[in-house]
Amino acid sequence: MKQLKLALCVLGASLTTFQVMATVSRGLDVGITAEPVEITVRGNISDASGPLIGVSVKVVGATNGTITDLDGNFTLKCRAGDELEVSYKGYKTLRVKAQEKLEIKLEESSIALNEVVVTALGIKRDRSALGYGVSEVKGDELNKAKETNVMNSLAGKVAGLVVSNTAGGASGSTRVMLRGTTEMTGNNQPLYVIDGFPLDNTNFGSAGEQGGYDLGDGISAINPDDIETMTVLKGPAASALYGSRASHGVILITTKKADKEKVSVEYNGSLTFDNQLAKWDDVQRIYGMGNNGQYELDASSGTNQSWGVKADMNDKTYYDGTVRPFLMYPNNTSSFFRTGLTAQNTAILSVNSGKTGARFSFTDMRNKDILPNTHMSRDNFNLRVNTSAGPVDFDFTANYTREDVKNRPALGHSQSNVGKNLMTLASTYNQEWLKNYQNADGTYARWNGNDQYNKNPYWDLYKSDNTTAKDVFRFTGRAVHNITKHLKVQGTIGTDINNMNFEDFIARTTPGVLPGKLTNSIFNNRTLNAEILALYNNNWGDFDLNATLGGNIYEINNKTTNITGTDQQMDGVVSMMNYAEQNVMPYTYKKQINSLFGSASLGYRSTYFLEGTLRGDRSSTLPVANNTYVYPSVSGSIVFSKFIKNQTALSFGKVRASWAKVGSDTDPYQLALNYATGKYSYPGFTIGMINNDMQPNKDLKPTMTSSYELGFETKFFNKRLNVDFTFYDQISKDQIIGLASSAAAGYPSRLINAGKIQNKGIELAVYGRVLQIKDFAWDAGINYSKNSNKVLDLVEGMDYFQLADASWAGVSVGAEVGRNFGSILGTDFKRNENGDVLIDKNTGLPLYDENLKTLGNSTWDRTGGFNSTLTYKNFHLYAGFDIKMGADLYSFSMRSAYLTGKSNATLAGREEWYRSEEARKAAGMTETQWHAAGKSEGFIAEGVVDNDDGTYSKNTYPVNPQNYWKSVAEKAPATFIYDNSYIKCREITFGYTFPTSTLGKSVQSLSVSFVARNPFIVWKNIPNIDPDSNYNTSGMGLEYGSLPSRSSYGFNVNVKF
Amino acid sequence: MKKIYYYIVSAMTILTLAGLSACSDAYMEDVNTDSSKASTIDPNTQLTTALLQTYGDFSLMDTYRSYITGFTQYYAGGWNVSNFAGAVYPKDSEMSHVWIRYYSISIKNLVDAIHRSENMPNTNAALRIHRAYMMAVLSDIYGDIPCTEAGMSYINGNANPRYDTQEEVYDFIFSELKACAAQLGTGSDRISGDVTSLNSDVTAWKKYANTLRLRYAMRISDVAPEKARAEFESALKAESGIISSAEEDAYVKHIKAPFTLYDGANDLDFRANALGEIIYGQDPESPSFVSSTLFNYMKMMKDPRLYRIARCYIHTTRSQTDTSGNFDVTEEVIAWGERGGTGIVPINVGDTWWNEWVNGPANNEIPTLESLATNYPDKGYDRNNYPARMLRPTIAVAFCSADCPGILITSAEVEFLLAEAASKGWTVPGDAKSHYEAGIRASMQMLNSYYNIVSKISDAEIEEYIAANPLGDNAREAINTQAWILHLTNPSEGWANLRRSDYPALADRTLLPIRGDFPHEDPNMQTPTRLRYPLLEAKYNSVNYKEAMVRIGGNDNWHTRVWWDTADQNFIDINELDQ
Repeated sequence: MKQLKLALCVLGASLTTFQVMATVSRGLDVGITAEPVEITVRGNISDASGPLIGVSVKVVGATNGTITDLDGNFTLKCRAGDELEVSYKGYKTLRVKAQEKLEIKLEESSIALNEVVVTALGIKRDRSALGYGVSEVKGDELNKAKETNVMNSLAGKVAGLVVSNTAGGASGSTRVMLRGTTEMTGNNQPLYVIDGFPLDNTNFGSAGEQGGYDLGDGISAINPDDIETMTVLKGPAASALYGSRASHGVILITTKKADKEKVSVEYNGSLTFDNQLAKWDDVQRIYGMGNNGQYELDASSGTNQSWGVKADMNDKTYYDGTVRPFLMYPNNTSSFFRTGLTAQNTAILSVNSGKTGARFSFTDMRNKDILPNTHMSRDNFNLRVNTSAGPVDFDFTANYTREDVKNRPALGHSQSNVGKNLMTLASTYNQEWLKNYQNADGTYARWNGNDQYNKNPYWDLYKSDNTTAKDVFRFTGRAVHNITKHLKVQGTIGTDINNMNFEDFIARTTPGVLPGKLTNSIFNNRTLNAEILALYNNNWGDFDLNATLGGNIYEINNKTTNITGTDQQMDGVVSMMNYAEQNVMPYTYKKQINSLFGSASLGYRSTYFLEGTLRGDRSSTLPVANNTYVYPSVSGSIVFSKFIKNQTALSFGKVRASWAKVGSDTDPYQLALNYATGKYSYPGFTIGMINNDMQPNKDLKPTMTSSYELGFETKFFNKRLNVDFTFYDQISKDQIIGLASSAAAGYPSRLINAGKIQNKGIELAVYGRVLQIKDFAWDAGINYSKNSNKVLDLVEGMDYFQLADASWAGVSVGAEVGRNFGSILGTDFKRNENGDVLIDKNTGLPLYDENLKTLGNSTWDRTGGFNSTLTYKNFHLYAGFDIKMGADLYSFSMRSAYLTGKSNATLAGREEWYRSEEARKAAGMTETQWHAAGKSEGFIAEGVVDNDDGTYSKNTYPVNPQNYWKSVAEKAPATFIYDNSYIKCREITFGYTFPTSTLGKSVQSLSVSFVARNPFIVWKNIPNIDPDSNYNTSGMGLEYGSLPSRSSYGFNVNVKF
Repeated sequence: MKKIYYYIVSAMTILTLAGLSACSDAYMEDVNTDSSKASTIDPNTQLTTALLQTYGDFSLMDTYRSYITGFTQYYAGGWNVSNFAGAVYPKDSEMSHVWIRYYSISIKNLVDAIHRSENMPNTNAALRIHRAYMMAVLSDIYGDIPCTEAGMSYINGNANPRYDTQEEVYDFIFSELKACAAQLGTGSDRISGDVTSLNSDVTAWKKYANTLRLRYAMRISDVAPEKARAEFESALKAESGIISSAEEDAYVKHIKAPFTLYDGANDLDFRANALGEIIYGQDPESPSFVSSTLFNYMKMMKDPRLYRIARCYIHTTRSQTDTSGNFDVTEEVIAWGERGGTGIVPINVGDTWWNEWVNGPANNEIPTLESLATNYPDKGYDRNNYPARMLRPTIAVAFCSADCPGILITSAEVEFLLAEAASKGWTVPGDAKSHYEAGIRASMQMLNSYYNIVSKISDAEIEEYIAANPLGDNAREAINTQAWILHLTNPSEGWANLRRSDYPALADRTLLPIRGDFPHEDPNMQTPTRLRYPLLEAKYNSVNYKEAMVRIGGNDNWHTRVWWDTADQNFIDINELDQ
């Protein structure tokens, strides 16, 4: 271990040195070339069996080109020294130096052999040499029907990749999961690597049970127009070389370089109109606001209850003294939202002159969300320059993103959650009236007795507001020194600077926050990544060798300052100075990982491959005694199709196997106690306390995840049908978990090495060309994955711990031994042996079991997608579907719909009960007397009454439906657990590419498309809300007052000059 | 060119050195040190935090509002108190706050500070005394609790503390209080974190520790009479004596900080008295109404405190420190009642203010209402529910101020403890009657000096009351009825003393109606005698939880009496009080 530490130290030193050298070498690339001579090339192109007709021959970097004739001949005028590109479908593309006479032999591309994929450390590898599964998504698939966060575009596209985004809308973050949860209390997000540089994907803030805002993530700053490919490395074997940060998989993003053409200009624009996708449609339209069948004229008039009288158009005096007809406003909730608008405009300039290429892109994105008075804009500037000086190649990137958001939606239990406040509003209370949200003096206009839990949503959006400004800078530089044909050394350095300012203003007189409040959160995040890497490849006879050796230093240095002002002094002045009391809370987050790693891959006859990797990390977050850890991986593959003579049916076949171990560390400052002073000061005293909420652990060890993976890749009928299959089994043990503890131990949770979690599953992708008739082609693909995410072990004497809860509803989500991760626990009805609900014979209301039961599971276990492309001449039609199955969701929104009498199901027994009550009152009898007389009518709960003699009889006790649903809402959360499966249409694009012949000289290509993102939900099991709803990116299985999800329709134009 | 080369070489050398130092163990440890926090802190600052949290934590006050102030029948009629205590509805998220918050903030910090203050004997003693105080509150509420092993998880790795029996908890409290009193004054350190009325005075702390022993001795007087008597008498004889005058009262000093409600609790802002904050009502629709039990007792006994504690308001703005939005109409409502109106109508336990609906009077019956309605027609003072709510007696705003003291123990309580001890024949100076009367005087004077009540209670009023309510034959009843009223501002002590003494007789909940608009799953409508443990204790500390469960009869029943509670509370039909 000592040696390794030393090695890591020396590495650190040499890295810094290398950075200097790399910087110094810049600027040596100055070259002047003489004016070239024009020549005419005459050539012939053939393959092993004879001449080839119609082969395309183009001058690289220019627009002139031609095709071969019947005898395989061509002539082409160009300049001496030009390079010609020869391409033909089904053959390997060649580049040759222009000469007057050319004889070219093309080699058939045996598909698999030249399928190059980007793997760990950005190394391009032949796919057939890999012993693990890799999925690739092309940039073209992402930049037509654009999402404001590019990761959302991946939904349903890759087997085993599950994307979910919050109700936060355009400005929100996206949660991506590869092969399930491996760390019980970690974030489980993959590592994003952009051109070899890990991205800072910090989620600045997210909502929890108490509510909050989703402050977005780092990946949203990536512009889909800059993406060449995205490679998804799912298993630990694939990502072993990225170390700790990659224990949840890696998504490699390769961005575009300068085009081959000398100068090209491209424009990509899209405009979409955004509407509500899932609407509040399970809403009864008979009874209006009020309680117990009565209209109430009181402080709240029961505005958020729908247990009143029938909406019969008869005039009623409203809370404000105005007389209005009492009628239903259909789609009252939906009418609150507007049609949103998203415009994205990208301009790309690419310049190439021989050794040097530069690509500059600028994107302007503007979004008006479906929520009124919200706005978001993002400007992204990206410059990539590559050049070479002698044996050294350079590649530089500079990226700047500016993002401004006005009014991020408050989520979850937040009192400002618009969705929550609208969902209980009675349909007889027109939401339009709420537009008068303030009095003449600017104070909150009372409309429901200042009920702070049901605030006026217009007030929250127009009077109070929140703004975010974010500046992201990313700079990267890479130098590759090609020392010999076989050996090169590359050094890279990159930094990510992420500055964000979030300001949340709550106006004075807001119910619950009468004195007003201003919160300002300032985030200053920096990461630095430096790497040096030697790459060696050679072949001897039938053997191929690829080897790498490298070192890496990674640093994060984040600072956050929260400033809060309470008690606003002057109206209209939104400034921290204007608050009677202010406080400042600083936070830091700093860590460093030094690493050394290497890999070697040996191939024999392009048929057998064996690869091994080894990595050692040293993390600052672990105790010195345990901070260095080493982990290996081994993988291998056999291209068995090589043994088959006739390859017409099976064109390619490979089996692969891999085993890997990945270690990971944790967040900083968790090894010892630290102390802080209170946020607020008390004159003459210091309020001091232990700052750790989680009990620190001075003996922490790294988490180790080990996995193995088996799979095959096959291609049939000359690539027409492709089948990829993977089986994996992954076990993480001695995890670093923030295990929940009894509060009596002093800390609600403690950081320990414990627990064991297993992810076992399969991934299957089948794709290919289903049909091809002349100009018509149909390509289709399906992917499917099944993951069983079992919690095998926690800690001695503990079989459950809670990860998130909706304590008010009595439900929680957590890890339960022996079950899939994400159990939803809560209480249920008391039932007899047959499962019938037991009813209290004295009240007619159900009896409840106080014990916690597992009510469901919040993790999807089967996910998949289906996509289809139809091409006819220059038209193409694409449709993509996303399928998720097998998860449950506790819907607080649906609970509210029942509790407040808004749901259709609450109509049962109402008419009867109100009629019965009227008769009872007329008869002057008490409820008990009336019931005893057998005259009461109402809602009869489904269930049985215990006859106390071992038998049961059907319940016949009529009750007030309002009381029934109140009782159920409070005590039987099981009732509001819904199957969260769905099939969504994620994307439809219909496009036309103009033939080159119709375009003028200056236009290279032009295409227009009609695009739709999330146009419709094919199937779901939960009323009113989108099944993707949740509190935030981690509060899985729980939903409260979710805003409608968005669907968008629009156009996309792409033109290139 | 040479120059450039020189620069490169020197830069390389510097960077190589920097690079090498950038990965030494010391460097890595330095990276992992939070520069915005401290690695150590004065234990006194943690004492301040724990003392302030006792009453200053808004989130734990939910347990007080929903259950404890309801079970003691101080308040009734607000939504929370009706939904939970009133409907005898157990809900984990409402009753677990005191447990979770005390343990995870105060106990954690106290235990840590106790371990780091061995060379500060005075501070160490103060920290331990307050731990004992909080353990008593926890045990009185929940029964058997982790005490001797609580909060030690970081120190000794015990994440699963054993539940001490309540008897063991009390033994611990007695021995700690005794040991601390002896330890105080053995060092020269100043208790600088003392944010109580004891003002860092070592002798005052000694007295305080001795006085607490009286309270806890009396608490076990039914279950362990011999030990109780021995403890009580030994405390009386202890060095420095006991709290014997109002000047020596022990309370936490809160300041007039803004009400920050749940936000404040999340931020650990404990500066304001959260009990005041919560009874004032963070929900303007449901302020804290004085229950008919308390109202009628005071009325029946002609208590001069009645209209100093219970007031009628037209209140449209609650939940802020500025109380000017409350228009006091008490006298006008009483006058209207005398003219034949309903007057003040207190709310029975289990009801809300809108059950048994009382119609508000015409505007002109209440001049303040008339003028508000005329002068501010937009504000709707005469509309909605304000006139109806105005007839219900509410806790006076004087008790809801952010800077109300957080009562630890007062001379008034001491007098009642001495009175009861004397009545039992224990050896105490003075007789039961004189202590009883002194207790009443001190209780009333306490309102005069600590709370900004509408008018000071005169000596004449006090003496008249004492004359009308003599100690009588049932000393236990008379004394503890007074203690009950005294503990209005210390509800946890109020509830414990009620359960211990079983007096005064409270309204029998089982004779009162069950309201359909509140869930009621517990078939036993009798007022519970303890709160349940947090639900997840069964999962997170399962072995010890199960052991505790066996001791209380197998399930976490809230009708089980705690160890020191040997008999049932006395109950009466509410109508017997209402004359």
